[in-house]
Amino acid sequence: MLQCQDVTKTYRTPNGEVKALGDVSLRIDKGQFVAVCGPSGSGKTTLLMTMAAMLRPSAGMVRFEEEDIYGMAGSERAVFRAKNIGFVFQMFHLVPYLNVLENVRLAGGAVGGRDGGRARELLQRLGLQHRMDHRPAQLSTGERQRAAMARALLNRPKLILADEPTGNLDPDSAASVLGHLRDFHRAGGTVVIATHGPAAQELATRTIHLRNGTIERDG
Amino acid sequence: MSMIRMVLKEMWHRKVNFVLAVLAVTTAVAFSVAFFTAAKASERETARLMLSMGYNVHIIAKDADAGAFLLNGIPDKTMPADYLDKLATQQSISYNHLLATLEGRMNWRGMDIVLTGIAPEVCPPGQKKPPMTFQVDPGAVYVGHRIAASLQVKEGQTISLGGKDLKVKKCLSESGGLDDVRMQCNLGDAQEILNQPGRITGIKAVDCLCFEKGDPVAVLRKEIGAILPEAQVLQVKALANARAKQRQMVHGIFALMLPFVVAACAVWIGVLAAINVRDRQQEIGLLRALGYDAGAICLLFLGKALLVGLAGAGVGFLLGTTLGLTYGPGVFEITAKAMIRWEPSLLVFACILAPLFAIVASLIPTMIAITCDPAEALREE
Repeated sequence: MLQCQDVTKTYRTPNGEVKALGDVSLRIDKGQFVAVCGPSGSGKTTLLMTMAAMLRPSAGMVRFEEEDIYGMAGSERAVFRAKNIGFVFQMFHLVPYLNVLENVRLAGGAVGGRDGGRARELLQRLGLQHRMDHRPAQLSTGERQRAAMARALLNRPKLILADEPTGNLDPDSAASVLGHLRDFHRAGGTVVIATHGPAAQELATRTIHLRNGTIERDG
Repeated sequence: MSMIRMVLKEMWHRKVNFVLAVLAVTTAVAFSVAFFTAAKASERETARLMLSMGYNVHIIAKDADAGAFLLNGIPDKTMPADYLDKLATQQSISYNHLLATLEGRMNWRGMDIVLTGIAPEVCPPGQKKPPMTFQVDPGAVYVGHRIAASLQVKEGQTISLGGKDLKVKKCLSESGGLDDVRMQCNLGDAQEILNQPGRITGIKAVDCLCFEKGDPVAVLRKEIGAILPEAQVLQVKALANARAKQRQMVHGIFALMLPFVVAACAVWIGVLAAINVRDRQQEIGLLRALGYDAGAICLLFLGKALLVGLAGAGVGFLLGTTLGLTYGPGVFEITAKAMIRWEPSLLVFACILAPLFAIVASLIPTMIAITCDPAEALREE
């Protein structure tokens, strides 16, 4: 489904160039639940952003279903992202001035999805039916992450990329969010999760260890 | 969720940023409206004050002795009164405030006086202005200071002048000039007293050539000569020059100040828009991650600028007009009552230009927003 081939990403900083990823090659098949582990600064987020068609690699190629995603035009890539990939971030990234339902529906805007029915259904499934009209600031952190999960699921993505989604959550909320990722995986979806936590690694069908921007272990 | 709805929700959420941005546009519009109103009022006031220096164009009969006229201020020949009508019906000409007079010397109760008959002042089509001088009703007379003092003439008294009874409307204060020995009555009455029916000795006017680059006298002579070949034109150059220079100076001051105010407000809006973009980096990153393209992000920021511009235009117009109406009369004492007024055309201009202004001022921050790296923005904590 997703293939990274000799992906290198270098950032320019005032102190010189920093190599976040160095010649990373991997293949993720449909239906896998992949945990990407490694210490802070090992390149987990950069790898996820590169896979997500959001961060062009300095070298190498990323293919999604055999299509070079960085060969697409910017607007084409934006539509591709909206249709195929769902994101869950550690910091939730909910728009503060929209209510929960609007935040979820926001994901449908870029692909013309104006139907609020699925957004409501997802929020109900994630236990947020009573919070639809609330602003993010009125939710607990666990509820915020579940709202972000609902947003990620709205467009029925093939792949969910989750960047430390439980990093800011209490154990119960973390378990709930991981449970929903597991449900998505069981329904045939593909998940790539960057994580420090053992709980996510236990769920994963495959764990990739990164260190200093390279794959230390894959299996 | 439409982008316009998002814009409105964001404005409501970040009220302070919105209010400050509206305040910037309001300031620019209010200053522009107040400056424009003040500039117009100032120009009108200056023009009006300059008018009080007197008429600066004299049209007299072609065969009148110009030298004698310059020497004693009274033309020695008359011309038909309908010359006034010919001048007053012309379009697109460079003079205004036409005043026909008939003047003559006479002796009254042993004193040499000047009798001046004045017709109501007229303005050519499209140049309607308040009259520069007082109008004299038939049967009334205004008496010069020296005549009134020497011959004990009182206001309200009826006097006989050349066999015609006239009621003294006013005894004028001392002018230190020819007006002190002048009696001013209606043109018709003067024609009867001086036995010059249908005649006038001159037409006074004010030229409208303050911003003329060439020789104003040549322009006037060419224009008036084509209409009245039987007349000659004299311009009081000192008055004309003083008036032109003063008006040009006032015009120049306002033309110089306004761009500075507008530029300062543009920077203000730009800075606020930049702050707004910085505060919304993660939101922009998220929208890009969710597949929104550059056009949608543009709409989010420029749509806000448009609404800020419209709100600022309305409030700024009200504020500027209120300032003009409140403080204008104190500054422009002579013309304020008649001239400082609500200008609906400025509201139309404000509603068109202020949103454009806000959009232009927000362009650079918007460009920053659409070129923002979503991955980088989403990594910020």
